[in-house]
Amino acid sequence: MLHKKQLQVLLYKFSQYGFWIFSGLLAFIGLLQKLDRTNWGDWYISFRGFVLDRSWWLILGSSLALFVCKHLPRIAGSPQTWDLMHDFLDGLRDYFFREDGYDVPDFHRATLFRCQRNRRKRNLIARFLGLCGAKPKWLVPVVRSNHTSQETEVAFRIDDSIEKCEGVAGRAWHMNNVVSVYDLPEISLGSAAKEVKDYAKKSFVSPDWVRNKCPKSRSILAIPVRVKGEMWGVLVFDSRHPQKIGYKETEDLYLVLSKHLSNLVEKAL
Amino acid sequence: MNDKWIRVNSSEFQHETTSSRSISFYISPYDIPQAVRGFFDSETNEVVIAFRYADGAEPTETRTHSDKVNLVIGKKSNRIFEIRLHKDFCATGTVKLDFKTTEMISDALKRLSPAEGRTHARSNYNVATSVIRAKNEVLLEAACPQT
Repeated sequence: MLHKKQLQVLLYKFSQYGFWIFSGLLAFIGLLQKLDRTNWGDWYISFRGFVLDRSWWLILGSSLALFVCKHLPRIAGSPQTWDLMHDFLDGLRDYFFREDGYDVPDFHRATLFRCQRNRRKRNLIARFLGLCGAKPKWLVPVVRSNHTSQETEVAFRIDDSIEKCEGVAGRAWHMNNVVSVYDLPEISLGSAAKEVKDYAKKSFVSPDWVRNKCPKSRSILAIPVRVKGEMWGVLVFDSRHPQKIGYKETEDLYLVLSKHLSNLVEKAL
Repeated sequence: MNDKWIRVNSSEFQHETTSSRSISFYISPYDIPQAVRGFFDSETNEVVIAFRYADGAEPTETRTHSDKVNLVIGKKSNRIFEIRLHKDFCATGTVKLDFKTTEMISDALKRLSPAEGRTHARSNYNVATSVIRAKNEVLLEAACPQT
């Protein structure tokens, strides 16, 4: 569910060029209507007739295409802003884990989750629940630091009821608090049931979820993200080290940067 | 009139709640104001204490607590953006928001209940009260220049 860059670049370029192409087409039709020159030759008269005969459909189609081109960047976001957000998360990750020296960068990650209704993979369930009146919301990953582990499909359910909120991210979202979980047991395929249960209890997920996903994170820090007062999502830092991810020491920097994060999120999405 | 924003040091008002299961909770960075200021609104004749947050401004609504206190809160977040006090608070000639006044503000914030469907912002109200207590002299000096 992470942001798909290639598709997004394609959509963005289409909207950028499309805007000029369809604007030009509309202007050209307008010009042809004004330029009623019989002395320019037969080719012009037949060409003008051909275009003006279809002008109604051309104007309607171009107007619709212009509307799409204008609003497409707002849906897909500009690639430059997405790159900035990615760099921003890389920078934050480096600062939050600066004391861990030259560890493999993938051991520490920063992921931005966005709150949205219905998740693509669970649309059938969502639709079913939608019919019953309850529309589940999900925290879906949109940007992650580093260049690896970009294909994650992990999403956390959120709800008005705290018991139904999944994960540390879900807990942070529901409580509107920064939540730090650390000293989580190491999980592998052969982990004992006690360890799985302990991990699940500490990270607010079910034991089945832990068994299926085999999470590598041993410490997690989740910070709720607001945009213009509205709860937008959650920023999650996770590490393979069990030590607590320091928040208090980095809060001042985060506060300075959070305004930029809100601005970036607003521009990108 | 000195109505400049005063920066709030977040670490002064941030506190950690640790549970026994290796879990810590902190106040959301968006609930701690980045800056506060006091000024006198000559149009409404009110002493105003305003707060600014990291994610910028949002649409607000005014809630009347009493004939002497109005609270301006965010429509989406329920956070406190302005506390508007009757001008009498300046006329008494005090040089700071006395204990009674801060208690009254604290009481007004405690009674502020979220509108239906909105999350509460209790930690924000607690931080706002603490900020007023910590900066009361500077705030009222700025809001009541004649004192």
